[in-house]
Amino acid sequence: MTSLINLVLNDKRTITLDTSKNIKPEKPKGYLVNTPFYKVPVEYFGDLAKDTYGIVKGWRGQANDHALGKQNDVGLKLGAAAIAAYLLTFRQAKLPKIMEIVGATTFLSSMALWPKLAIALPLKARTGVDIQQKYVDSYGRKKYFYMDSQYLPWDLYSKEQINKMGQKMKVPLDVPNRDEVIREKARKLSVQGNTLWMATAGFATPIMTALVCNALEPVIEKAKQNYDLKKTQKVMDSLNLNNSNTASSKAAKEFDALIESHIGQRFETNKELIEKLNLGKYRTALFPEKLNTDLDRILSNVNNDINKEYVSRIYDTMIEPLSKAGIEKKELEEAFKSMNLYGKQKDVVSKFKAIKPSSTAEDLRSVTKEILDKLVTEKVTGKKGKAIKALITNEQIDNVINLHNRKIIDEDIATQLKKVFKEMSNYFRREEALKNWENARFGNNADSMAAYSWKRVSNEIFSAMGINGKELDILKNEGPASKKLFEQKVEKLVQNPEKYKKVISKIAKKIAEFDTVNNEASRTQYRNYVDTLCDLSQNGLSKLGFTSTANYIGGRNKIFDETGLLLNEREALSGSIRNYKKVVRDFNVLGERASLYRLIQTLDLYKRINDGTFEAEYKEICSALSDQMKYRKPNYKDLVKLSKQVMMSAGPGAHEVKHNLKGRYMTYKTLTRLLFGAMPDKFVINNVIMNMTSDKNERAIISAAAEKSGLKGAYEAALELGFDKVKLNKYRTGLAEETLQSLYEASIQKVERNGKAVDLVENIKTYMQTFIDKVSNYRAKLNPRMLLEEHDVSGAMKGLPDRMSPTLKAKLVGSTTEELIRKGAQEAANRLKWLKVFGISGGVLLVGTVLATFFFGHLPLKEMYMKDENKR
Amino acid sequence: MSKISAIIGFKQNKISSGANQDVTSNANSPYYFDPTRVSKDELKESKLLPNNLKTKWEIAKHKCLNTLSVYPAKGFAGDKNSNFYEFLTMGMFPYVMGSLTFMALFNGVTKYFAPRCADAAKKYGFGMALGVIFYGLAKSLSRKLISTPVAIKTGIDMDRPYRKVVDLIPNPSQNDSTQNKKEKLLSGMNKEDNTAFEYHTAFESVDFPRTDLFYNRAKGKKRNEYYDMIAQKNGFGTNLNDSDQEVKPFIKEVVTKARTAQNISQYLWAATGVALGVQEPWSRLINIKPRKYTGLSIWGYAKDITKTTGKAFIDSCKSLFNGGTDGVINKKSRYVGRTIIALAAATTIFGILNAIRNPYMKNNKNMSDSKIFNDSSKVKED
Repeated sequence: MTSLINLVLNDKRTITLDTSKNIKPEKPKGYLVNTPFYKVPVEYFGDLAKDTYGIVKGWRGQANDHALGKQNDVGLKLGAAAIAAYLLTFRQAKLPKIMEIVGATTFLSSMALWPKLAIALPLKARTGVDIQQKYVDSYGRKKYFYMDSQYLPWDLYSKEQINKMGQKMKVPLDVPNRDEVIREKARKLSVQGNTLWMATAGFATPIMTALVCNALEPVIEKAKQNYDLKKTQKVMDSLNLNNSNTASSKAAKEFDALIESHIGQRFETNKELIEKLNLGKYRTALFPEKLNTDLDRILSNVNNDINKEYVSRIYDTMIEPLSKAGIEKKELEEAFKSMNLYGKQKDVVSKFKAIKPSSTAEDLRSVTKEILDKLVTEKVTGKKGKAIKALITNEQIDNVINLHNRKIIDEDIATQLKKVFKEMSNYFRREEALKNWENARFGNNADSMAAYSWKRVSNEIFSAMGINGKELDILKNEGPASKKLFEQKVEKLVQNPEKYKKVISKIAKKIAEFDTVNNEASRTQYRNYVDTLCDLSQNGLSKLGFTSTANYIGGRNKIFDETGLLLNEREALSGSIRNYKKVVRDFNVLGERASLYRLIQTLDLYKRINDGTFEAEYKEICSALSDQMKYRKPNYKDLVKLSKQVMMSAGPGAHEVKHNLKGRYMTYKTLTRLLFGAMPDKFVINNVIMNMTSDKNERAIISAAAEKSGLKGAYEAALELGFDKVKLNKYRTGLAEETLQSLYEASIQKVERNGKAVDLVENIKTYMQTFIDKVSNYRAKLNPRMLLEEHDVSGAMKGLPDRMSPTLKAKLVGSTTEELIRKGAQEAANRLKWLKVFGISGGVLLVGTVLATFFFGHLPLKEMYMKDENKR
Repeated sequence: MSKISAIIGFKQNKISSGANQDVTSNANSPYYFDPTRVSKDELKESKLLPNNLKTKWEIAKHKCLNTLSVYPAKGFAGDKNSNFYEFLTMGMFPYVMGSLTFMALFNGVTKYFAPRCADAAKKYGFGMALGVIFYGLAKSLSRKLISTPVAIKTGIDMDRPYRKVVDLIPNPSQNDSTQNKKEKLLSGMNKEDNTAFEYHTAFESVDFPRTDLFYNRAKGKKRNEYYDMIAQKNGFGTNLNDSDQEVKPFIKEVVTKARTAQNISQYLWAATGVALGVQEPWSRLINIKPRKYTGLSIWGYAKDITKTTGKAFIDSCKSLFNGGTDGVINKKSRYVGRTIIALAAATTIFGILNAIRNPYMKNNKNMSDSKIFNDSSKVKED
């Protein structure tokens, strides 16, 4: 039997088909898709690539319906990416930028996940039917199995699989045509589930996106923070500060080209060079100025030689203003020629000859002026002459002289400038790395660790204090109501020692977290980085003759010696980048800590007032007052009121006012001593430490130690003798015992977790001491003209104890407690409100959707047992 | 006539009442459809509808009302006749609701915020809400940017609607009166005939385009009137024997190309819409005072608002293009904004050019049947 068939086509052509090969229908190649979860990303990108290829096919006009439909998926992703990219440009800080991308991704995945999680999953668990099941058809197109309920390719399911579904759906075994019934149930389920999907997705997708992003934000924030800390440290470590970059960048090439093009010529101004040397980065306003000074020195020489060139330069400079004033160019040319400056005409030449090589710029100026004057008076008279005379200003003449003084760029200068460029770009490269390092830790920006701790601390305090949503609504506003409420809350809190300790621990933990990164070691490290950076650039630039820039970076008259810096360090470093960087770091860290310390102190004040220790201290201080001062001691009630007011709402300005207490006067210093704890050293030694023992020997040891090294010595001696540390510190710091205990615990916990010790008590004590020395020192005068760098805030206040800059004061005072609470409450209240509305609606929607699935797939028994052919 | 259709107000009554009237000759024309003047028999088969506002309104109404009533009711009951068309039509619901929910997310609770936060949040929320609206507007309108020029140049109207009459699967328990009632209620428009209406566009499927609907079946008319027009417009020649066979592959290709361009460009235009919505100048609209505080007449107030809105729109467009206003320029925004606009414009323009290009005319002006045969045999699945 032949298997060949001849087909005759319309155009009379014939085609021969071999039927032995083609006669049977092809076997279906479709299959169900069951991707394990770890392969989902691979599958995702595979599908995306396929769908994208669909666009290419569509562009050629060859796509089918399936490919055209899938193009939408690609378009949607493209659109989401475009939107995220655009919104990204509005965000300054890194975290919101990341969140834009996370938002777009979450939106797309929410769209896919909602029907899977809320509808398909419960249905599958209950009935074994996965209404989100995908399959690949014989042509390789991936589709949802249940998408079109009137076309379900059941042959892809094996009999066992269908049976399994039936078992789960509890279809009786004796039902005639049981498979049909199971399929009908599955179909019904899918139609119902898909309808539920359409009904809920509109609400669910945006809410799910928002809630997921909300939940993800702190996690991403933490991860980003850790990443930044590690990454910046790595960059600093790998950045070999001693090894200079070969500067083969585009900017370097451009600069080299600029220099090469000027060999044999002059740079008439420094502008272009400064821009290039500064890499367009005007981070500090002084850089261009200093570079200008140096460039002037390098590129100019005093050239008082009056020669042909000089005269032609006068001509070049003056020709434009003069011709504007009405003298024709030709006329001017002739005038210059007729003056015959190089010829024998006596007057001008003799003047020139009088100028010696050592003549000053002043001489040169006067001669130039004379030349120009002569020119005008000889050639132009009358009104015109006067107008022209007015044009010949000193400025014009200076221009001529300056230009005359510019050096011609030779190979040496070119090499020198190229080296300077390398040095400068190295400086900026190192500085960039350092900037990133500090930004991740204490920088004054939204991405720093300080900013993140700050954001979270208020939320934790509110939850620890048991402040609810309604109270937050009051606290978020300015005014007496919120102030009163917070006071009430604090007063209630201090009556419960356990709760109080919990709150203090929360704050302390945040400080400790901040301190593990921004501690003394990191301060030293940072200072070393700054020193290395500045030394390298200073040395490099000095060698190249750029001394002004070098000294601006590293400080004037910087002389190193092995034992340390010279005595005039403060003066020498003043105004330098080196010092600025160091001080700004200290101030930033101080300011961030001070606000949190102040919160602790406010709570501590209420605690001490509550347990009576504040009154006891008040009495002790009063008894220690001299007879002269005793009659001035304040009323206790007034003092309490004032103290609360100071801690709650006194800003730097209010601290300037020396508080007056209703006719009875008490020095502000005494008040702040009470508030900021630390009592006079002598008082603590004599009345506190000495009183803790009656043993004569012990007292002798302590007093000897005190004589030797003051309070610190006495304290250490007492510790060695086994005195109670908390009690000792209580008097050293003036903080309540509970506060101290919480601080210790937080310090210890940090030690356990990170292996780095943070002594919070010591830190807070140092801060208080600084506060007393500076802010509450009535001799300390504010000096607004004082520069930042005139202070060393390291704790030991060397030099100028009686002066401070307003910045230091503001940093020491920190944010007022009121403001801190208000801002925190605002954020917390907004967040809570939002979460309440959308969290609840999201929850209700989810529960409702899942519950709804329980009513799906119902098929009456009667219908199951019907033998009707139309049953399906 | 089912109860539902009476409730949702579809003009079924008119269609039925017009059943006994004389059918005018132009009712048979594929370019003319008047639902009030068709015979009952016509409701039994699919019918091409004119692409005009009236039809669009009817279709939109039919789809909206069914999405809110009949289709979900059928879907939740697991009805046999709940098909893919109904599922897709219901897709409109999450789209609209999602937009509203997004707006609510950004604006729903701002009024509870502390004054300063509320102001900032309102401004941001307003921008995002506008962004959501512009997303939808830009997405749907931008499809016209491609389909209109293509229709003008080639005569192929990609959006040409037709009414499909679907035969419903009979109910197994028709004898059960309660079940029957329920089924009647849920199954759609014309229960008597056991059929339902669906509204599609003739070329929505490129694999199975409804080219059959374009034949003129009226007596004494040219059967290939439509295809002659397409052939003439696109240079296939006049007086062709089988103009339909000649142009069908061409139509398919044009539609595929144009739809590809639409599918991509619409999302880029939508992104442009969002970018436009978040521009600063729109925030002026937040502070528009209610009329009672302005002392203006209704007309004057409306004029005032229109003017402010128009100005805000123009300034926002400028701001989007320049990356900011009043000297506050964000270079990155400018760059990204311009890139998105350029991409959207490029996909649209090149999409149109690509679609109207006629590859069949390049080499062979007189195509034979074999050409068609070979071409249609070439069409592979994916």
